[in-house]
Amino acid sequence: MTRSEARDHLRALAVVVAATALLVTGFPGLDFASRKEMREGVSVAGRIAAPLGTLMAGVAWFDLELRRPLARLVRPVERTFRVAQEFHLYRDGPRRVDRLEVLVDGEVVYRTRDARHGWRAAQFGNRHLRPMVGTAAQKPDAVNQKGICRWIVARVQEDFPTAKEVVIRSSRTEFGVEAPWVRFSRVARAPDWTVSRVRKMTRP
Amino acid sequence: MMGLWRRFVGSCSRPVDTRPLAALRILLPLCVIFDLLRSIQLGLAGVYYRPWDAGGLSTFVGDEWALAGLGPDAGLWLVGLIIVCMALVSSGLGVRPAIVVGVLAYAQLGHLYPPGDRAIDRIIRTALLILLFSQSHRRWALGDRLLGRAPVARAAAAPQHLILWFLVLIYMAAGVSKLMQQPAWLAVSGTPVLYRVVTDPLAGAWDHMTWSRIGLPFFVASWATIIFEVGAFVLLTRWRRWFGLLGVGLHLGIGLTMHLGMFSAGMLCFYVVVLAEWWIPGLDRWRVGRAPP
Repeated sequence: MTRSEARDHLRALAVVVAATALLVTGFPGLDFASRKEMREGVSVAGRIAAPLGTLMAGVAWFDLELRRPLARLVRPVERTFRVAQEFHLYRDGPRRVDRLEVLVDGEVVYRTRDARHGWRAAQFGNRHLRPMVGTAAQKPDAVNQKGICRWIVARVQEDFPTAKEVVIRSSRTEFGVEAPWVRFSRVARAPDWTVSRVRKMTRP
Repeated sequence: MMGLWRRFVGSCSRPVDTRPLAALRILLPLCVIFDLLRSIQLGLAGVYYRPWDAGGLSTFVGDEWALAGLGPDAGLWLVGLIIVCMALVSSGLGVRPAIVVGVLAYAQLGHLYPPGDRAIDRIIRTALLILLFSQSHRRWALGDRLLGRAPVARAAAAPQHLILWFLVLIYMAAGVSKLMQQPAWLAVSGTPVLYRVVTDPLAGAWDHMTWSRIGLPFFVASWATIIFEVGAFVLLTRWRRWFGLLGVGLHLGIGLTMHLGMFSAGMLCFYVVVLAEWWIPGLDRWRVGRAPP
């Protein structure tokens, strides 16, 4: 074997290693299932038909005994370069239409995707902020809401120096239905501007 | 078995045009630069990339955030460093060191502000790491011009294979997880999933009231999305470019109907590799046509 041939073999081997690393860390379908779901899948498949149970058991073995241990080997590289290979892009749309609203002294100044209430809309829509806006609008107890609320209150103080109260609330409606209802809200009042706890409301 | 391995070795070593990966090397960093500049323009970089105690947005940082000791402005220095590194990568100057430093810094920025580090960021970082092992830095590169080196016209196909493999895994993971989570992607009645996706005000650009009575286009687009994503393995075959047109349509559609920042632009960059069999000969013909007789 010449040096050039040896280099070709080494290059191909490197491709196999890299391609395998990408595959085991982001195996389509398997990366989505938890250990528990995988075990439950075997049980459910077995109840439907024995051959299906055997097939599922093989898949579970591959996933639990081979793929996951191999993926664990790659994790340090994944974490260092922050390149986790789980790409579940838009698995599903939301069930309902949620929006974040900001009211300053009782007047709506911002509502998600509402041109009439577009205070700092470009910032709210920025891709790095949008996930926090999303969770703040959808989950009353979201971990992220503290940061976005603090940011909103600070910006209101800048843009509306005489403001006395800020309400940050989530409104919800069904797809294809116009009238929204307020699900929960957070309030901050001058002079301390502490954001109060979430007030949940029942659907009218 | 040995025959199969030899064919694979031959395929990885086969010299291919370096321009598709060079174009990818130029375009991906530009997306990152514009994205970071947009955050700066909006006055948000100082909010995203500062720790909570210094007025940042996120109450938590990733376990791998390693620069806390450098003070609250370490994230902002990283933003500057990434812009410089990405500019170097894109221009073709000191590409390999710039990729390593740039990707590490980009990763640290993600660890500092995890909610803002999205799939497209991970995709770009992975692709840049693959490009690190390619000859993309030896074509359309300022470094070659400054050093008076001849550009490398053809190089082993291995990195190109890996980029395509990576794309296939991204799409197939997205498609399979869609079907596992929500089989209604293939529904023919009810509320189309894609309608809910593109009219969700938190991510979509379309109004849910305006489009609520129109079902068929959303169903067709839902099926096309699944067909493309689950069938993405076709990108590894000779029908790649034709299938790639569906991908271009998908990303243009996402770009028109959703507000996902640089996602569509970033993903479309990969089509310089997918559609290389079309645009490379086209470019050559154009250059020959422009050459003096």
